[in-house]
Amino acid sequence: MEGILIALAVFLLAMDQQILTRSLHRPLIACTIFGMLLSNTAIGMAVGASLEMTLLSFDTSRYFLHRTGSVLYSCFAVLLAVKAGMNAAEAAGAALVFLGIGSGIAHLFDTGNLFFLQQARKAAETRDEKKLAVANFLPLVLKALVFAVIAFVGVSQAENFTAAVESFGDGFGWILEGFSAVGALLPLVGFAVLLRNLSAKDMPGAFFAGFACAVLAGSVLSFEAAAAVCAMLAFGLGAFAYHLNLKEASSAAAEKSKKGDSGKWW
Amino acid sequence: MVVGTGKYTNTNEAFPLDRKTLNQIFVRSFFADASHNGETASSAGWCWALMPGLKQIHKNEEDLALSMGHELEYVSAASPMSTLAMGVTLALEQQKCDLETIRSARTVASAAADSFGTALFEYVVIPVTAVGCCALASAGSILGVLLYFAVVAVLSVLLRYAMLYYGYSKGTRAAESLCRHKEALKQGARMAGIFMLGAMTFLFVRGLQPDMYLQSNYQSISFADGLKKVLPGIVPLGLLGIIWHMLTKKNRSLLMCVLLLLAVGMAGALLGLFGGFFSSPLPLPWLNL
Repeated sequence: MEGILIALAVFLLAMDQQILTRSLHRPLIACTIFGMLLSNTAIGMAVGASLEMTLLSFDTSRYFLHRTGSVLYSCFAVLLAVKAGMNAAEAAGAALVFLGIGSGIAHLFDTGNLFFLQQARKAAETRDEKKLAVANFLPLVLKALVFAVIAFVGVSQAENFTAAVESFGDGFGWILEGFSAVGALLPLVGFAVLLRNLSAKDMPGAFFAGFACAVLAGSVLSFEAAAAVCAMLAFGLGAFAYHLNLKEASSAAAEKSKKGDSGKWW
Repeated sequence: MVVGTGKYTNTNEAFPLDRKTLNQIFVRSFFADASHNGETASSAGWCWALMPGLKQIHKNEEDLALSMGHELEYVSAASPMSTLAMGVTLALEQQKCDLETIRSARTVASAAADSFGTALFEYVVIPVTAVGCCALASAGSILGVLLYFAVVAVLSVLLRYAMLYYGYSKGTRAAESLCRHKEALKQGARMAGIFMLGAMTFLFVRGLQPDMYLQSNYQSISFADGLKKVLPGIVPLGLLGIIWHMLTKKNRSLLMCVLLLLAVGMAGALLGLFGGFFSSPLPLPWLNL
C-alpha cells in the first residue's frame, strides 16, 4: 500500500514538474509529502529543506542537470532517511545518484518526444486539435509513469535499490549521459529549421552579431540575463532596420515622383 | 511543402479576441510545456494552448493549418512569463502579418520572456522564499512548506495572467501601426529574429563543453580551455553549421539531423568527453587524470 501511495505521489509530482504552477515538485514540498506518506512528516521536512538548499547551490547551467529530474531525488532521499535512519545531509548525498537518473530519463524523453512532435505536425496538417492534445499530454503521462514505476520498485528496499542503481550507473550510466548530451544539442535542429524558414541566407551578419553578443554577454552575466540583454539588442536592431527600410521606401517613392523632372536639372 | 511555410490566403485583419478566448488560452498555458522535446522545446503545447485564438482568427481552413504548422517551430514556454510571447504572437496573427514577421517576433519575445521569467523565479523568488521557508521547515513548522507553495504558486498564476493580457494589448496596439508598412516590418523582424537565433545558439546550448586532459611531461592541458580560447561556443556553432548545410544544401530530412546529433552525443559520452554525472566505462587515458 505504501509503495502504491508513493508511486502515485511521484506520478503526480513528476507531472507538476512540467505543468500547472510547478511548485509542488520543489524538494521542500515534495519531501514533506513523501514524509507524510511514510508517517514521518518531520523527517520529510528536514530532508526537503536540506535538498532545497542543495539544489539551489547547484550550477543549473550545466547541460546534464535537467530541470524536471528532481522528484526521484526527493523521493529516495526521504526513503533513505526514514527507512535507513540516515540524517538529512547523509540522505541528500546518498540519493544523489537519483538526480542523475532522473535527469537522464528526462533527457531521454526529450529525444523520444520527437516521435510525438511528428504526430503534432500531422495533426497540424489536418487541423486536428484532439490529436494535437494527445501529442501534448501522452508524453507527459508516459514520463511520469516511468518515474512512478522506479519509485514503486525502490520503495520496498530503498538501500539495496540505491546500491543497485549505483552499480547500473557505473556500467550503463554513459547511455543516460549520452542522451543528456543529445538533449542539450537537439535545439540546434530547431534553430536550423527556424533559420531556414526565416530565409537567413541573406542576413548572415545578423546571426553572427547575435552569436558574438551572446558570447560577450554570457561571459559577464548569467545566461538568462545574457539572453534578456540579447533580446533587447535584437529588438533595437529590428526597430532600427524597420525605420531604415521605411525611410528608404519613402525616399524611393519621392525619387519616383520626381522622375519626370530628372532630365531637366540644368 | 514544409509544414508551416507559405502565405495566408485571407490577409484581412481578424476581429480582436474576446476575454473568454483569452481566458481559455490562459488556462491552457499552464499545460504548454507538457510535451517538452529537444528539437522544438514546448512547441506542441504552445500550439495547443493557442488553438482557441487561432481558430477564431483563421476561419479559412488552409490558413489555420498553416498557422498551426508554424507555431510548431522552436519555442520555449517553460516560464510563467511565456504568456507575454503568446499575447504578442496572437496580436500579430490577428493582424495577419507575414509568417516571417510572426516567427521572428515569437522567437525574440519567447526567448526574452522565458529567460527573464526563469531568472526571476530561479534567482530571486525561489531562493529568497526558500531561505526563510527552509529555516521554518527545519524547525519543524509546516507553515514553511505552505508559505513556500503559496508564494511560488500565486506569483506564477498572477504573472501568467497579467503577461498574456499585457502582451496581447500592447502587441495589438503596436501591430496596428507597424503592420501598415508590412515589408519594412518583415525586414526589421527578420533581422531581430536571426540576431536572436545567433544568440540562442550560444546561450541555449550552453554547458556542453567537450573536455579531455592531455598529459605532457610537465603538466596536463585542458582541451576545453583550448577550445574556449579559439572561440567560446565553437562546438554548437559548428554543429549548427553542419545541420544547416544538411537541411538547406543537401536537402536531408530532420531525422537525419537528429541521428547525427545522437551519434555525436553517444560517442562523446562513451569517450567521456562531457563530464556529467556518470563516467565512461572505458579505460581512457584522459579520464584517469
